[in-house]
Amino acid sequence: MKVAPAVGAIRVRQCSKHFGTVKALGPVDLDIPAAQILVLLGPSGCGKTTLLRIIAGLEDPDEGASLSIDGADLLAQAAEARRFGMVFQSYALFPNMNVRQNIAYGLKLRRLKPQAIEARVDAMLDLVAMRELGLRRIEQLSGGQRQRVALARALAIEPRAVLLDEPLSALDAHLRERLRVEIRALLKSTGVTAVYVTHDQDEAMALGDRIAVFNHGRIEQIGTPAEVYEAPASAFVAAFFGHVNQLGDLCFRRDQADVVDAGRGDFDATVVAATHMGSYAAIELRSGNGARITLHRFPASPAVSARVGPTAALGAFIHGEPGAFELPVEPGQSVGVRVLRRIHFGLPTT
Amino acid sequence: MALATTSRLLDRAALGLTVALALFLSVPVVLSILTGLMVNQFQGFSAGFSLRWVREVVEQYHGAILLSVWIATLTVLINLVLGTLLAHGLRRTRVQWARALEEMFVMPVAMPGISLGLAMIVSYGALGGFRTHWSFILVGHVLFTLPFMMRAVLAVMQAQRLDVLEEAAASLGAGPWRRLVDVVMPNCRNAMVAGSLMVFTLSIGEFNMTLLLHSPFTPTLPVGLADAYASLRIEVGSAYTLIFFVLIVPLLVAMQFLGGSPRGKAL
Repeated sequence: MKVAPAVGAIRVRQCSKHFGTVKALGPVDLDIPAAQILVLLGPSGCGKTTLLRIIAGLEDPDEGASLSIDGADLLAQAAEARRFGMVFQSYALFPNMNVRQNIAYGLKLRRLKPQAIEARVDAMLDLVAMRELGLRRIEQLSGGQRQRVALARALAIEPRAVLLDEPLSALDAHLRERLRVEIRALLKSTGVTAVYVTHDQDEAMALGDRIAVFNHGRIEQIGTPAEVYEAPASAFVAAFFGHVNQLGDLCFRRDQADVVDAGRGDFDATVVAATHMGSYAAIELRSGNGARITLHRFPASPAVSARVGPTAALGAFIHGEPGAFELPVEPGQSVGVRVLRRIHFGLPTT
Repeated sequence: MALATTSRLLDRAALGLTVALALFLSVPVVLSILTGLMVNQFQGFSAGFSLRWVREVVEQYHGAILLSVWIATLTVLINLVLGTLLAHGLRRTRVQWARALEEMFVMPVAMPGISLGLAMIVSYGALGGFRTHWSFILVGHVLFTLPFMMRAVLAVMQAQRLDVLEEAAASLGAGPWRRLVDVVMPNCRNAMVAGSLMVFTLSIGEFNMTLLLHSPFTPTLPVGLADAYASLRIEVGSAYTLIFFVLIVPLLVAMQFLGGSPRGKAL
């Protein structure tokens, strides 16, 4: 069901924010195309939530900023006039209203006819698969159900964009994984522009069409999940999406290198420890100049094993049985490390 | 085992002490009520019971009693508007002196009622017919009770995440006034009811300040009570106290009930 046509291109220019003398957000430029999900990702205090709240109209930016949607200025409008649906970490459902009343609230403010409101609420409840729970009180709902209602309430008003502020952070890991898939499917099916704030890189990868990585109030990089992972613009971005081994100019991810015979790789190293971690093996190495290197070896990764050639002295890494593998190296052993894919920082990204 | 026995003993001791204290506190109350219903306090129960004194009090003091109920009701209404708005404003403001302002509103409570009454007379006593009008007492009562209402509402407001609720309402299109009516007030309803009961109780029983604020044309219930005890038979004073109880006890019970119910607490 389309709740909004493809409108809602948001444009942010020279947007900064100080709280007293503390700079929370640095001048930031950002374009969010209509119907796209942009994830603002970064550690706490990096300015991502501040930017979201400025877009929502809950904070005013410093002088000189401009903010518009489909070319229309937003800064002159109060939050209640912007028609952005919001979803909060704490759900922010009205405890004095039941599920239906929560979803209907924004529609009532728009003075829709009662039948139109009822129909719309029904449609929203169907959308989030909560039709039977419409008359429940909020305190009777689980965390996941509450967040679904919050999403339905935000989408009910046919918002020009949906702004989500860490909506899954209050939920347990299992539910988080399931809900982030649901939320992406929901946002995509409605075709609404969405800005999604999180500090969780897995969530960002799973949800975002593009990810803007924030650090100290600035955007370090904007790109698709594949771009920020494979071509990070800085060491900060690279490290945010998983650990990085660094040996002088040579940077590579833990799963992007393999152990070969000494002298046959890109550099030689000594094995410090080799540990079976369940789904993968972790090999700790120390290079000639003392740098610590960690490799992760997954048993069922044919792409990797095909590229590593035979390693006669070390034997086959991968065992026949799926999921089981031997640790072919011993602590103290001297080995070579072949890097399969390097990370180059600062590559031009789209 | 030994620990369990000790703790059971302690529980019993505590229970005994509580019962003894409750008895000690309620004996004068019960005696006072009984006295108001006795034909003759000097002769005791043997003379029998009657409603004669209660009737006498109603005849002589119904003006004072009605005035007190009237003033207490208005005090509650004014408090509901002022106290809620003040708490709402104080909660939302980010300025430094908000805390100081909050403390300032508590000052009338810290002052003895007599001082407050005197201050009222010195400040506004010469203001035309104001001094002899019942609204003079009303202003004093509002001054005295406002901190109670404001604090009760503010505490519940702060305990809930009203900021986020208001932000959610704003994102759905609610302006400041709608947010106050649809989100803030309904979620403070129990605090407002509890505050109202407290304010009504405080106002109807207020004596210290009212003794100074009242005029011969505007005696209130407690002022009349003092007058009855001072100048009439003990049975009349006691019957008066009985009427006071009838007015106040249901409110106290309601207050207790509200405080104990889960909906009365902050979320």
